[in-house]
Amino acid sequence: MNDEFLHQLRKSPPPQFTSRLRNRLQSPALGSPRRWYMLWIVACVAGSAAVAAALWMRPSVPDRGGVQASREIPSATDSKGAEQPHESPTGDAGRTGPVDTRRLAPAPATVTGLGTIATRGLPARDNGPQPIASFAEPSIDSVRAAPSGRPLVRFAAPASAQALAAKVANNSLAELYFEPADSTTAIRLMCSDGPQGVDIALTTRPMSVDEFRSCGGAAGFARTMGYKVAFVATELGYYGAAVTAAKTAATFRVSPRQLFLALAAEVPGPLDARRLIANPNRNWNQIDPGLESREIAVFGPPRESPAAMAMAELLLEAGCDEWPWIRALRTENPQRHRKICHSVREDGLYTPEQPTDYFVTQTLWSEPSALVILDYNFFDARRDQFAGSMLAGADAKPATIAAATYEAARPLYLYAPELTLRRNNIRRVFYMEYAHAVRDSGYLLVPAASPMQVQFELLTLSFDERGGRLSREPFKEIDRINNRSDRQ
Amino acid sequence: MQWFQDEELDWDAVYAEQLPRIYNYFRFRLGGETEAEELTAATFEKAWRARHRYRRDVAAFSTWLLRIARNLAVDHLRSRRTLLPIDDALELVGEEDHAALLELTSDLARLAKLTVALSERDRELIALKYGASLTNRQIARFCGLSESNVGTIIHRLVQGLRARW
Repeated sequence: MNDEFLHQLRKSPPPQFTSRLRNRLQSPALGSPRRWYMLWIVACVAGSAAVAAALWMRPSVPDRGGVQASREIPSATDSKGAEQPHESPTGDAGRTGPVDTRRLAPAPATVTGLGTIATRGLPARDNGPQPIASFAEPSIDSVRAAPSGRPLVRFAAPASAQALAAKVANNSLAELYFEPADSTTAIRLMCSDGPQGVDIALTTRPMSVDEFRSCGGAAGFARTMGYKVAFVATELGYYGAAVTAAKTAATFRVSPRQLFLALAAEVPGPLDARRLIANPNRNWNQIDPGLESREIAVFGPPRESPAAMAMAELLLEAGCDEWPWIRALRTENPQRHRKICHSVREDGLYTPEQPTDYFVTQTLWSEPSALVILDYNFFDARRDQFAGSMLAGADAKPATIAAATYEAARPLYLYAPELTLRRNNIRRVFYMEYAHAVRDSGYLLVPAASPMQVQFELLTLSFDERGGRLSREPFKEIDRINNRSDRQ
Repeated sequence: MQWFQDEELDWDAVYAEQLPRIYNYFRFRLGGETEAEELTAATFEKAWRARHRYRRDVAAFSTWLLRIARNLAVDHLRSRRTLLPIDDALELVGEEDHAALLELTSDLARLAKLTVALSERDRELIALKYGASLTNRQIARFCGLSESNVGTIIHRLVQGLRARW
């Protein structure tokens, strides 16, 4: 194995460092280990005693649940707000809660529902962009909390993003309200006034100019108040799947439609395409006479895993949407659409497997007639162990993924109105932490970058009236934006 | 290497032999010289303070030391992902700047760039093999993998890295 280039990277520690560390280890400052150990024990005992004493002397406080947060900050609207039901992470009609409008002064805005800012009927100010620092302070959102007492973060994203989002919310000490949504719906929800609105949207396409201009919610509020309308947008990268087989397998190309017909639990019937029947296909050439007469055998991600959801979103949905009536369900009945497109057969022709090196060498290589659907990163790191991409169309390569010609990959964008992040620290934390988590999860096709730095770019999107398009620029501190606006 | 003289640890011998291993382990694992120095110092300080708790019958001293180093690396990597404030985003290096920067940096940075897409386990294996200079058998014991599996994975990793080097 020619690994000399790696051995050559070794080097001796710098002499100054070596002697400095040696001196430090010999210095009395580090002392006897037993002395430190004893000090630590004494500190622990003293700390425990202090905590016990504090608990003993603490007066009892009745549990006020979610109301507590709103009462901690007295407000002119408290009496009105307290009568409203509290918001819940389930997204039902009870998702309203007490809010404090004081900090919005002097803006004559009214606050309704889940703290969403109702802007209808307010006259637009015409004195140009204003500093939004006046409401960048703790605001109405700081008193919004879920029944658990944690601040609520509302997030719309593809269903496969839910597990990671829940984990991030937990780590960020936030309560997650997750809305499974495709890109259009996610942006619509982010731009919605009213209780159905969300704070942050994860999409697989960039926001369009029309969506930007008509966006309501926090962005609409900023617009109405004459402030600069901006979104914090992050291009996270791409996520993707690969369809391949063992390196010794005879390859053929399959389309998403053919994969759907091979893997779905129910497929449109041959006589009446609007009627779903249990999947009768057992051979590839039953699906398409042009395909090999080979029994369908597909390994793929474990059911209900994020990878399985990604597979359904990237491959199966693309296949099932080729029937117009199923595609129409996407807007008419999203739940039915999801059930049809995401349900995978359970008659043994699809085998859920966690992709590991062991699986590849011990299982897949002994099944040369089987196809396997993998996370793209796993495939890319072991190309020599697979037969190559078997998905019809462009090959699975970083270049084709970036050019959007490879079918089973999507870009990922994270959007939030700038105002939403500025006025609520928890959402800021969630936004950043989620972006990191997606990067670290292996879900993305990570662009070449040093692990030493946070690589993704935060962009402020704004509409260029003269150019008639969205302009992108690095997210800047608000003062700089205002200064620039003043100069223009 | 004889590190014990009448049950007492010969710290000088440990220091002379283990310092380069731990230092290079951090260099390979983290990709930076400064961080490697800081964490190497932290490892030795921690080991020095806890030396009375080391038990010869449980593990070799080098393994114990490396275990401390590994835990520090994990903690460090976790904390390195700590969020940057949004307002600091301006300070981040853009993609184009970054590409240009990489051409000028060392082979170690080049390795860091190439290993960014690898899993944590794979990066750990590279660091243990080429940074800490462990044998496949030692790595296998250390990571709870089989020796042949370690050999296969490292072979594949080296092939991939060499192809892109």
